[in-house]
Amino acid sequence: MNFDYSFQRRIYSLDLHPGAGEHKASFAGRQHGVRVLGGEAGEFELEIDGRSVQVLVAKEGRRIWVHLDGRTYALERLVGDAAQAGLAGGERVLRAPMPGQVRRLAVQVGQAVNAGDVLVLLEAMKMEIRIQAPHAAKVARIAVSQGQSVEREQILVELDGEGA
Amino acid sequence: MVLDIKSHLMLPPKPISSLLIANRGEIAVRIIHACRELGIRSVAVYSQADAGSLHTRLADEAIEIGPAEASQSYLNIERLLSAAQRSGAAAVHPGYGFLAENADFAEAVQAARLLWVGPPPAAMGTMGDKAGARALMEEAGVPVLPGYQGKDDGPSLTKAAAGLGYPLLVKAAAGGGGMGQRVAQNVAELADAIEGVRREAKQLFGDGRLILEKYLPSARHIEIQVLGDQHGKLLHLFERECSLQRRRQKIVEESPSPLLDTNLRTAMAAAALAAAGAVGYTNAGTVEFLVEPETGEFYFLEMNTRVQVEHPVTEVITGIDIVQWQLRIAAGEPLPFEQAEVRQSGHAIECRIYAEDPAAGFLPQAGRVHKLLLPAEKNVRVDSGVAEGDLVSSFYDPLLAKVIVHANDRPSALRLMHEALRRTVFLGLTTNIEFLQDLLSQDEISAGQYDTRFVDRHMAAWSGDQELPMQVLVAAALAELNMTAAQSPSPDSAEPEDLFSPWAAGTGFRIGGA
Repeated sequence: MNFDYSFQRRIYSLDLHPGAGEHKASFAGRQHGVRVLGGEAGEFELEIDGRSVQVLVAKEGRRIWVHLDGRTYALERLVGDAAQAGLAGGERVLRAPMPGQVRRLAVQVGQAVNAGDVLVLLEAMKMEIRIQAPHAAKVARIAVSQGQSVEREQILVELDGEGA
Repeated sequence: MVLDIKSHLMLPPKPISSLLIANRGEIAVRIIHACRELGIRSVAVYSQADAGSLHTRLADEAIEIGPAEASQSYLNIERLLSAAQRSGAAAVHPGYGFLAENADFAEAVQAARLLWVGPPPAAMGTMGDKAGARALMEEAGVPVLPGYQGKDDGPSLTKAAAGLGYPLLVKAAAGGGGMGQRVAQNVAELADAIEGVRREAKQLFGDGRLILEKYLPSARHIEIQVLGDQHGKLLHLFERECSLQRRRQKIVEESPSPLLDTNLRTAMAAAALAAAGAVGYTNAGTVEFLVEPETGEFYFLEMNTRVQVEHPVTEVITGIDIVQWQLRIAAGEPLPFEQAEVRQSGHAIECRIYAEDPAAGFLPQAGRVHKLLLPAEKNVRVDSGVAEGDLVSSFYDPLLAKVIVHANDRPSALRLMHEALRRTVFLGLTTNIEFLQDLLSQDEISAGQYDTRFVDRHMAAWSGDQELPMQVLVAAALAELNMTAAQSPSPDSAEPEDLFSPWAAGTGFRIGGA
């Protein structure tokens, strides 16, 4: 089975072939032998290439958090179109980084914007959050209205076309 | 004969029977623990957004006080007092934040014939007004930054600024805790700063008055904890070094400060006692100073008339339980120890664990704590406001927990903190744990050489781990397979994925928590 994840704006693709005791994982052209030694409730122990590893895992929708060796990694599983389009899609769609209220819409549909231009001002916890264009583009869609409450990850603006 | 009102204080103090905690999160939990230790019945309050949260579960009684908006719940004096009356509480502890430094609230509590666990309202009022406090401190011989408090219209401020010189800080007279202030590097920036801070001050504090202060580009934030009873004894519990800040809010605190020598420590402690004494302070409080590292000059910044987030640092190095003493002092108990008996033993460090994204301007984060693991080593203390499964909302301060370590010396304390942070795991939301690990790994931190702008200067480009270990990917994929299997309707009508599940072949261990 193939698994695509994004982490820090990069895509990672893993193939997992389950076996009787040992599973084969292939990643970046290399094969790894994987055994599940034990675990419960999000804490478990694996053996990868003969080395034992303790891991903590939690999952919510397509988001998954893995704790390994003192650090936590937040991944997002890419499925279907998202996996095909890759992170370019993520760059075109601007989402709310946290729940809040739309204080001001600074652009209109069809407007050309430059990298860094403020598109939307959000207010959350008495702070002003600027949603800026990641690159030069045209505003394709504005998905929210002024004063509206938004959830974390809710789509705010969609851009059209990659800038140079 | 004149009735001696003071003689009432000579009666043996009556312990508090039950306490209303006008707060939430980790500080409410902390106060509940102190109540248990003292045999006090604890009454928690909560907004609808906090229904079922940890502090409501731990308290002996929990009362809903309104909707999520703080103005209609944790900041609503009427509702808090009504909850106190309904629960039969004898006293009110405000914690920190919300109404903790609101003298009107303290007065209202006392007017309702309840004990106020804090300083006299008049002392809170005086210290809460930046302009008045500056003037009083000057009078009491406490060094203050060169500054201006007077007519605060634009032209008057501009004229005063020219006299003071740049850079300077435009501050809200009613502000505090780093809120409502802005730096002006030159006269061109001054007008913007005045307008901005005034707007913010009106919004945050309902009071648009401004003062000016000289801005020290390189300074350390060092504060002195004080503790005073109602019988005239006022002691200091040494310093806390709080220079590691982001967005003008502290994230790491330690004691002793790596900067202070005995002379400077003694001078600052004396100034703190003079400051507290000048307002007739009782109960726990903190006098904050800015210190210029090169000259050792220090200046009064403000007094926090409440318990501080970072109070555990002082508790572990002195062995004095500040929150317990807040309650005992409020009940009228005298402090049984003398200044000379208060010792700084070893070295303590606290790290604040926040639900925030350090790679995106420390934006507060919300989410569910699906998995929580806290360090349980010796000499590591964790004050947490959340438990596994809890939802962290975006309505309030995103502080999740505090990790506090105590060791013989600073290098050992830093090592212990590194280990403790590696074992502090919150899965389900973005936290600053990795950021704290990387911050404490900086050479300047090991050397003890940092100021309040260290994080801005050295950590601004921080964006977290860039490399993804292959093991993480494997674990994620394995967890995914298990979830698929767990969600299939019945074992008999297994989906194809089930047959390939690595768990089917093995011991059937569950991961990911279904």
